[in-house]
Amino acid sequence: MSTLARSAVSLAASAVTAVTVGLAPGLAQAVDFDGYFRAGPGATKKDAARACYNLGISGGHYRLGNECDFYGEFGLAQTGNVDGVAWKAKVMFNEYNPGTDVGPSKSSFEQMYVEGKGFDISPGTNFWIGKRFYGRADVHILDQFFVNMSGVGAGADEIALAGGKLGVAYFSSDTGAGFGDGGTGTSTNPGARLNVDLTELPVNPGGTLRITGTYTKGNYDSVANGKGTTGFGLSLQHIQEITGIGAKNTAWLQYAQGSAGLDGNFGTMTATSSVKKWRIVESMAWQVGPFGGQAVALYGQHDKDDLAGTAKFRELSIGGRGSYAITKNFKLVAEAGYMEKKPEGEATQKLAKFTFAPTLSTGPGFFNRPELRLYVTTAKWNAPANTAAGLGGLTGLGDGKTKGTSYGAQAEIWF
Amino acid sequence: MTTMMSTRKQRTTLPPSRLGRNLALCCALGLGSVPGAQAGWLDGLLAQGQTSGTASKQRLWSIHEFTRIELVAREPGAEPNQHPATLQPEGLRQQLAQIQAVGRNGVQPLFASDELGELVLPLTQALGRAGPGDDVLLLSSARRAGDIFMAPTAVTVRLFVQGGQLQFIVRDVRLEFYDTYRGTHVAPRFSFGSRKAAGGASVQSAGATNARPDWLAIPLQGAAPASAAAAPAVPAALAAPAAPAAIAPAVAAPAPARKALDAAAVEDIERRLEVLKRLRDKGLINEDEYQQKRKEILQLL
Repeated sequence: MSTLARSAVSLAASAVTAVTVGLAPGLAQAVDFDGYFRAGPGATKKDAARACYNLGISGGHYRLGNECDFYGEFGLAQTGNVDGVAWKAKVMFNEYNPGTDVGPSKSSFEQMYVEGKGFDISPGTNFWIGKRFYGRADVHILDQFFVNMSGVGAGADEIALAGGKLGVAYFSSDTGAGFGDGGTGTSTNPGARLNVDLTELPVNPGGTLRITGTYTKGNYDSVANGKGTTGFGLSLQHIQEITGIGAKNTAWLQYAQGSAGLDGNFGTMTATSSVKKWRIVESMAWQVGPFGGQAVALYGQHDKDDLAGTAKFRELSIGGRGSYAITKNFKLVAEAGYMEKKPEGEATQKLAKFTFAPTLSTGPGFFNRPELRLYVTTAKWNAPANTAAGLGGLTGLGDGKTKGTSYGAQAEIWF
Repeated sequence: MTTMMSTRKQRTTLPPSRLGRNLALCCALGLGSVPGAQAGWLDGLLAQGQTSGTASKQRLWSIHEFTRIELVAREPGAEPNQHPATLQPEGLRQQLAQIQAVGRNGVQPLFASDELGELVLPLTQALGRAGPGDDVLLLSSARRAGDIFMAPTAVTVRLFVQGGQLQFIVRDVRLEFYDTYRGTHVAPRFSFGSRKAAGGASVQSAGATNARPDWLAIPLQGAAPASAAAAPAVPAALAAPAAPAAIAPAVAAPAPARKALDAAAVEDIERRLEVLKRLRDKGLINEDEYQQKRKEILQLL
């Protein structure tokens, strides 16, 4: 058994033991168990691996019936109160297989942190240190986090300010890369990041504003890795409750410069400090009786950067997923998306994708999980999209085609 | 009151100059935790079980990610509460165990037994530390289907002591919030019961009186016995208008000599029997449930 496999088995065994103990009836202070996973078989055509259809932009992955991987994450947390201080410790490990076979996959601890609130020096402030998901906000159908400050850091949040909550956090990375880069322990291109996050500002009836500021600095200067640069970013997020139709609208306006990412994380640490990028995102999720869904529209621009070797480009994405509950446990789900990437001086890359998925679920709602779905996905793209993706083309199959159809089954659950 | 107000003042902003010092202290406390009595998986790390201190400033009891008890300012315009109130945990547990939610799926206990086991002690602590200007908010989430892969649902309640009774106003009995939270990553906002307007919830209890369908008044019987003596001393300025209240075990109480019922109590029993009959006639409860509940109500006579 490989080291990775043994590690995964050990993690799983630990989790099962902990959950079994923690959820035993009658035990006070039971352990919280949460997580997510998706998995399932699929195919595209004879003599080829399953293909997925994505464009390399921030809104380029409409995920329904379009995930050529396995992924799971499993978290354990315990909360307690000690003399007025409310503590929480959380660990979460994940499992990722970039293909959909039963072979080896990658496992790691994604979160390990402790936080506490109620300290006598500042009872209303929550202090935390560790490795964690932090401040994430996403559009589910795109599998894209538009705010994602996750990393290894320390911070203080839930500080009351102007009717909202203020958080301040410092993050560090040995590799100058974002979350998910494990580093080697001997890296010589570290980066530092400071985030200021003001959330839940009541700005209008049913509406709240979030302002997230980012400052990054690459603390290195080497021949091999180039020079670390500074950067900053500003993200505005507005959430609007629309009670009449059971909807929630989220809009982002984001700007970043240099080594800062639009999502509040590290961007490219060698990016020229004057290089700018911005995007605007509009997303709505709703549930009206049996009809639920989520839609998104995105437009953004990125400057050319000679240091990072990227061309100037603009990106566009528009799409949505709808579900209609025929019965309490049976939904018809469909998802459509259209994406464009236009590098300066080059032809526009285009991709359109459509998926139909009869789905079993425990409830009729759009976000009810688990779901057991069968799907058929068909996509069409153009030759520039194939060329930009390299030898294998957009699908990686290398057949030069500009359309394709995949089918399969997938389970998705969060708990 | 002074203590509580001072606590609120400290909840404002953290001066930047103190941030580094506070972070360092946070780190030192985290690493220096001493293993205590083992009650849970991470107790060694968190020193769980060492809850015997006198944290008079405590305003929040965090039990799970979406289970917490919090002291908040009393609703505007409401009469001062009879806080602090000293309650017997076991008596409170028995009273809360009798509360039933009436909904689309019929009548079912508002709380699961293991859920109550985690709530009762911090609830008594919160009511014991509340001032006349405080209400207690309870958010309790549990995977009520008994399956760890099923989404938890939430119960939200506002509690306070008034008129010698524990006032228990329910806003949500089975709020489905988790799937949307996981799908959007937007933190859920919970609402709690209010004195001013009834919510949509409907609850009942053989040991309590309905002020509204969503509002139960739970009697606090008898005087505070041994447990009251062990309770933290209450500053004279914070003493409740009435003597500290205690919930006597409602179910376990042998009730050897019942007091004569007054007209209001008889009327209440009559009304509850009518409600019960209506629920059966509408098919919301079955005959067995009807008979069992009827027997419980009649025992109050």
